[in-house]
Amino acid sequence: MILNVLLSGLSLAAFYFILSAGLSLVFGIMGVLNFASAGYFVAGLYAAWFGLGHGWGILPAFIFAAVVGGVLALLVEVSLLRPLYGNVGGQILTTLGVMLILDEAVNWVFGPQIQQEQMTGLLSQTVMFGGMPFPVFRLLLIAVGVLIFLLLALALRYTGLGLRVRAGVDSQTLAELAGVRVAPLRSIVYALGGMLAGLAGALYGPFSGVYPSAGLDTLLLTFIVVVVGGLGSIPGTLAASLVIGLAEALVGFFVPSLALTVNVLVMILVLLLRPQGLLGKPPGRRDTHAA
Amino acid sequence: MPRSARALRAPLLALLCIALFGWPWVTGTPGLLNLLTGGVIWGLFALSYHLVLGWTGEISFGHSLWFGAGMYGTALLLQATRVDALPGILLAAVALVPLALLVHLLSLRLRGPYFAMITFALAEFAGLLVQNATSLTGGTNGLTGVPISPDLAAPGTLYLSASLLLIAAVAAVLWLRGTRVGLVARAVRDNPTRAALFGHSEVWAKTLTLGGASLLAAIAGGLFLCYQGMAFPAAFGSDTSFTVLLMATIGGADSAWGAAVAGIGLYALENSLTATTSHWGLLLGVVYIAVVRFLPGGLGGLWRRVGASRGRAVTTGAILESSDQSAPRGGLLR
Repeated sequence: MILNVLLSGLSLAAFYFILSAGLSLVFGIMGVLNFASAGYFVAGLYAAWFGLGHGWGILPAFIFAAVVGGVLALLVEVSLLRPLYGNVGGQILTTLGVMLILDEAVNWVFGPQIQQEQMTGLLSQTVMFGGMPFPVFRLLLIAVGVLIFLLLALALRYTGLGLRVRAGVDSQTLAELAGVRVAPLRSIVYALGGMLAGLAGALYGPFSGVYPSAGLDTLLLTFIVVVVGGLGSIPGTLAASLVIGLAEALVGFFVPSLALTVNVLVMILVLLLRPQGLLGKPPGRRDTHAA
Repeated sequence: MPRSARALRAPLLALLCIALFGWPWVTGTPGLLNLLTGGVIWGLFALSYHLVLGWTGEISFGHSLWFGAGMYGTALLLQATRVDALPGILLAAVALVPLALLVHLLSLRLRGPYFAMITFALAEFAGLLVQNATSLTGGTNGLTGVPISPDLAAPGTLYLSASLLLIAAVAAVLWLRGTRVGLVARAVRDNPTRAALFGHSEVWAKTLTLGGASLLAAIAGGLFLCYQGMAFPAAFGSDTSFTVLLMATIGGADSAWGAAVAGIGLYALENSLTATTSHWGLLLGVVYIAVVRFLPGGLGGLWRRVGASRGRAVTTGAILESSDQSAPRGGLLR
C-alpha cells in the first residue's frame, strides 16, 4: 500500500522534473522566466494525442510531441526573443504573449472540450504491487525522468556544449570574453527547453486528459518546483521535484483535500528559510542578465 | 520631461475627465454607459498595477489576488452588515491593507522572476481556497444575491462614483510621485544599494507601495462586484492578472494616466469584440508581443514623443532592467 503511494509520488516527481527542468535551464542561460513553456506543453500534449489517435505507438508519438515543442521554441527564440536580449521585462511579456497565442490556437483548432487519450499498449497495462494494481505508464514515467536527469547532468558535466552552457550560466560576460559565442547557445538551450516542455505535455495526457488550459493548470506547479529548487539549478530542480511529488502523494493519500495546499506551504516555508531555493545560488552572485 | 509637455498635462487631463463624464450622458445609450462603467473600474485596477510596474519595478503575476479579495471582502461585508455599498467597498479595501502588507513583506524576500512566480502561486492558491470554501463563497458558482444599496445599484451612479474614484486616484498618484514618497520609491527602484546608503529600506518602500497598489485593486474589485452584481472566482484567475499587466504595459510603465486610459480602452475593446469573436486570448497575445516590439514606452512614451521630440521615453524594459537585483551595477567592464 505505502509502496504504491511512494511510487505514485516518484512518478509525480519525475513528471514535475521533466516539466520544470527546461524552465530552469532557460532561466539559467537567458534570465528569462519562460511562460511560453506552458504553450509548448499544450502543443506537445495535443501532438501526442494526435499521434496516439492515429495509431503511431507511444515512442513515435512522444518523440513527435518533443519535436513539435522544440521546433516551436526555436522559431519563437529566433524571431521574437533574439531582438530583445537584455530587455528582461520585454522578454517576459513576449513569452507570455506566445503562451496566450498557443493556448488560444489549440482551443480554436481542437475546441475547449477534454479529449480522450487513446490508452493502448503499455498505457493501459498495470502491474501488481503488494496486491494493488499500479499503472505501467507511471513506472515508465519514473524511468523517463531518471533518464532525462542523467542525460542532462552528464551532458552538462562532460560535453563541450555543456561546458559552454555552464560558463554562460555562471557569467555571460566572462564566457563571451573567453570566446564562447553565447547567442547560438541561447537558441539551443531554448529549443531544448521547448522539447522538454513538449515531452512533459505528452506525458501529462495519459493521466490527466487532453485540454487547452492544461498548460496554465500546470504552470502553478512548475513555478512552485523551480522556486523551491532554485532557478537555474538542475540538481535543485530534481530535489524540489522529489520533495513536492512525494509530499503531494503522501498528503494526498492521507488527507486528500490538502494535496495542493501542502505544495504552497512547502514553498512558503522554503521562501522564509532559504529564499534562493534549496540548491540555488544566493542572489547577487549571478550574472545572467548582462546585456 | 520638458516644461511644455508638463504645462499641457493638466488641461488635457481635465478635458479627459469631462469627456469621460459627459460622453455616456450626451449619447444616452445604456449599452455605452454599461461598457464605460466596466472600463472605468478596470482603469482603476490598471492604475493600481501602474504602482507595481512603474513604482516598484517588479512584475506581479498575481495582482488579481487583491482584485478578488476586494470583491469577496466587499460581498461578505455587505451580506453581514447593513452598511451602504460605497462605504462598504472602501471599508473592505482598507481592512485588507494589513493583510496585503504582510503578504508583500513575505513575497519581497524575492525579487525579479522569483517575485513574479511567488505572486502567481499565491493568487492561484487564494483562488483555490475561495473555490473550496463553498459554504462561505458559493464555490465555483460565485457569490450571488449580494445586497447592493441604492447608492450604487443604479448604473448611472455607479459610473459616476467609479469615475470620481478613478480621477481622484490618478490625481493622488501623480501628486505622490512628486513628493518625498514618490522620490524614495523611484530611488529604491532605480538603485536599491544607493538608496539604502541614504537610509531608505528597499523592502519597506516596496512593501508600502505594493500595499497602496493592493488598496486600489481591492477598491476596483469591490466596484466590479457592484457592477456585476455577484462575486466570481475567476476574479482571482491568472487571466485577470495577465490582462491588467497588459493594460499597464500598454499605458507605459512610467505613466499613471496611460495605465488608466489603457485600462478603459482595453476593457471596452475586449467587451465589444467578445460579441463578434470568442478568441480574445489570441488577440491579447498578439497585442502583448506587438506592444513590446513597437511601443516600448506605451501610451505614456508615445505621448511624450509626440509632445516633445527631444523627450526620451522610459521603456518598461529599461525600468525592469535597472531594478533587476541580479544584474551587475557598474563594474570594471561597463
